[in-house]
Amino acid sequence: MSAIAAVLIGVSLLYISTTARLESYIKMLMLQGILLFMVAAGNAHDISFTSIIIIGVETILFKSIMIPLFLLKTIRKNQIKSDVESYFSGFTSLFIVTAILTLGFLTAYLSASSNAVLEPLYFGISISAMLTGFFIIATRKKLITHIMGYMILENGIFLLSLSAAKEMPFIVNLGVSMDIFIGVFLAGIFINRIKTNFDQHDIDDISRLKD
Amino acid sequence: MKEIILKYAVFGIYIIIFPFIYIGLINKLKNIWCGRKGAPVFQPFYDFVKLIRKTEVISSKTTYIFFFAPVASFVAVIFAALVVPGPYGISIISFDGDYIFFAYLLSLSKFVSIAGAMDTASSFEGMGAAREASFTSFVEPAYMMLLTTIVYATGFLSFQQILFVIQGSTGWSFITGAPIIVALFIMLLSEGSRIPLDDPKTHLELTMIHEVMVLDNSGMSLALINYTSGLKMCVISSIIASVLIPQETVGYRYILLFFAIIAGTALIVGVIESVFARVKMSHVPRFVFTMVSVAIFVMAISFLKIFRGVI
Amino acid sequence: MYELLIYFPLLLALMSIVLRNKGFSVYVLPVWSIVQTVIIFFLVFSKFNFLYHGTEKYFAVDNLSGLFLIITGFLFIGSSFHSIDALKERNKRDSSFYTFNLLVFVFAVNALLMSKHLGLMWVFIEATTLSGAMLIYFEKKHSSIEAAWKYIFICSIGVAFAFIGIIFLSAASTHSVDLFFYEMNHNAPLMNKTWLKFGYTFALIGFGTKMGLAPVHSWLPDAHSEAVWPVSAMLSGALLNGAFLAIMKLTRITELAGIRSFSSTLLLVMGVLSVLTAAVFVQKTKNYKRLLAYSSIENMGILSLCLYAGGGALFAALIHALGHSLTKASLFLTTGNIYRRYHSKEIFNVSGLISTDRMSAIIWIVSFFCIIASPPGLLFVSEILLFKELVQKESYGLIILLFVLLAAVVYGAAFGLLKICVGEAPLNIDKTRFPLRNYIPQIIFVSAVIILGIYMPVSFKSFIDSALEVITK
Repeated sequence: MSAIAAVLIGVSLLYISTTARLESYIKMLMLQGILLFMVAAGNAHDISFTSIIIIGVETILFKSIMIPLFLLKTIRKNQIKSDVESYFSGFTSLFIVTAILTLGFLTAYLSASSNAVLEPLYFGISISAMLTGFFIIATRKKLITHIMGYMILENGIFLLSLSAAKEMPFIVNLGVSMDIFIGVFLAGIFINRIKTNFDQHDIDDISRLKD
Repeated sequence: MKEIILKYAVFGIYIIIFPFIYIGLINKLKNIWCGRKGAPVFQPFYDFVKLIRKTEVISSKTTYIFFFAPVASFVAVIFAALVVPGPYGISIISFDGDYIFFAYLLSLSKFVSIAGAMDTASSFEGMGAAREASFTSFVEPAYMMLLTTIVYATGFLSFQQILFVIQGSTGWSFITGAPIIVALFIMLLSEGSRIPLDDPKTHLELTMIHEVMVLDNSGMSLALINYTSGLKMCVISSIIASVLIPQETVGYRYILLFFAIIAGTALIVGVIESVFARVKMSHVPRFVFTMVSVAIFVMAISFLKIFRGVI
Repeated sequence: MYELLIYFPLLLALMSIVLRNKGFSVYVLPVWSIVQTVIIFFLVFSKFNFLYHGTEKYFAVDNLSGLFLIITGFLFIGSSFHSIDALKERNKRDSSFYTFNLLVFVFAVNALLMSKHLGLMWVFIEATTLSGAMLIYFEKKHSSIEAAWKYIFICSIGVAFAFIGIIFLSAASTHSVDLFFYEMNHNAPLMNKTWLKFGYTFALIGFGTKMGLAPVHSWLPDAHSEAVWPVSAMLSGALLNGAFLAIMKLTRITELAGIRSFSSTLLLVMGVLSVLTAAVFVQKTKNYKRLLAYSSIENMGILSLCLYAGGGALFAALIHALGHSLTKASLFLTTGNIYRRYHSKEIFNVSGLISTDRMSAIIWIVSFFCIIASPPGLLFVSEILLFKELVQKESYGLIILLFVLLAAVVYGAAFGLLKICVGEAPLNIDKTRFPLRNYIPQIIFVSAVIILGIYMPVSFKSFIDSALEVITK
């Protein structure tokens, strides 16, 4: 079951690359949070009530509810137009993300040869997710999409940590989730400020500081 | 003997009746979603009968190609339906490499309908034919990539066998099932010319893709074309059903599950048509290309199984 | 006792945001900074064992983290005295907000320096990013929003890289389960070399982003130039060191695992690139705070090169970190005096500092000579030690390259930084003297650097040596 969830995360990356609407990005982030919960719960060393609660807080609460809703609120509040402005056409993006998926699995394929310390399927998809996150950050113009790309990157990292099959102490996991959430929260606040100060959302607007 | 007759009978009923029900279900659901009562589910069948009883108007500028195109398309799809595992989980015709045969039958059906449209020498139909040919051109490579990967991973060469393997619950077949269904569903939407690729209910020739190709058809040939498009969707849905049904299912349960899944896909298509708008014309190839991407994804996963044996 | 350094800043931060009292917000900083430094001294130098929590699970103060804690403590004292003037014309909302974020920042730096667990260290490094972003944004101008956005975004992504590295490290250590440093050091020889290399590379890029190493330094000039001056001093002196500590500890693991040559190569590349970047951009920049920021990048490059050289250069690395932090803090704190007088960060709008504010000008010039590592300063000693180590390694090409690049940095920095002291002052400049609290911290910092450069007490040397033992024994 968790394997299917991981594969569906891969499919959601494809959808993210082709869609042109911000709401779809948010829906996909929500979906990825739920899928990550399924992957994590399926791989938990001990299925106790507390461990499920902790995983649920990390994935469902933070990744799937609070952050997407906060981003949605930011979009509504700043009246950001709902189309994703990109330097590449949707077709090229889809093509590149397909290449990224292939690359991710190629890496997993190579890593599976030596004594596999990482679960190859998760490893491949997590590499793809991280690269897709970077791709979204690099090729989309709006600042809010950069935050979403960052979240995709973080989801990839979460999956990667699951593929290592070693759990960090509870306090570290909680700290990581808190950091990511607060990071997104602050970035959202900055977007509000940029809206009030610059009245635009283009990346071009924040490139005045340079030498 | 009796069993075989029963099998053929069920298959025959399925192939004759279900295309109408399929389209009927989609329309019914769309209507209900809009708050209307909607035509009965069998309405496409009544339409079919009505159309058959009408005389056909044939443009004097057309040749025999126009006349034969719907028939040839119909026959090709019927054959395609025979290759795919039906309500019993077995195909009527099954041989090594039949999945390639299937692909080319679908292509043939598309080719003759394009040829028929071109034959009318109408500029609208030429436009529709060009759109249909270019927009759906990605379906075939994606389909071939998908099926070749599966064939390579399973080691079997006919639909019936490879789908049987996929029905199993071992790691690989379980994992790849989800993206395979996604890819097949995109294929279903594009072959059936449904929203979000093409709107069957549009009334402006300029925005039509598939519908504009059949503007000059009437009577018997229009009836055949309608039936053929329903059958196409049914056939692809039955592949989806064969992927989804667990291996252990046998007997009447299999049949019930099979019909339920086909009806389910019809309902999903209806929901999609109700809640989604059609994508921009220029975005249609991208949507179809998603199928290629998913196929590559399946291939990447399968590589791990084939060469590393890790899944 | 170390808990005080973690919980107390948080508690005070919460109090400042709850009370919203301007007086409290302004004066809690100097008071706490002095108390904190006293606590740190007790923790580090006390001979009593009950203060020395070597066995605590997640946090501990050894001599290495002690050294960096002391640096942070001193810088915080300087910054907090300057904060009094930085907050003078602010309303109570802004003041409490500033104090909250600065205290959270200090909390994060303290905790990261004391962390014994790599994952926990990551958490606190990211926490410094978050609290620092709000401090950079404090002035609420276009440029500060831009700098804050770049800072939070680039650093978050960089630190995410570091987390990927940490996961690879945990994948590499097949024998141990947890990412405690002592456990990783213990198991280093058994680690999977391939994954360790991947992990180290990613972690170096990630923590290198925080440390300001080229080519992932791009946030640093913006953030340092746009932050309020006490914050710039804290960023440059405390934050960069924290990331450097993480890199040192990771490099130690690679050394124990027997792939030191690999990590050295990476450090060499990033170090030389940093010095090169600084040498190029120092010539171009028109903003004295940005110029100082590029100088920070150069010094981080030198730290990275010290780590590359290893051996005796590690000693150089520690005293270079100390010297750089104090000198750079003195320079950044003085920029506050300059900015408040001239209301501009552009070099060409500022001139004749020596006639308008003699004290600042003297501090500025002396600090300048210290930061370019000219003889009386501590940085001179550390760079000589680095070159000595490089001569022993017979890497003469690198030495020549470094000489050229450092000369270029000195030229560019001298051109920009000394220019603002001389010439005729604009007419409308207010020449009244600032209160003494605006000069004393810098004077103490710079004189400490010079005294240590001229005469290094044996006790100081042995303290640095004992700090080195943490990453060499």
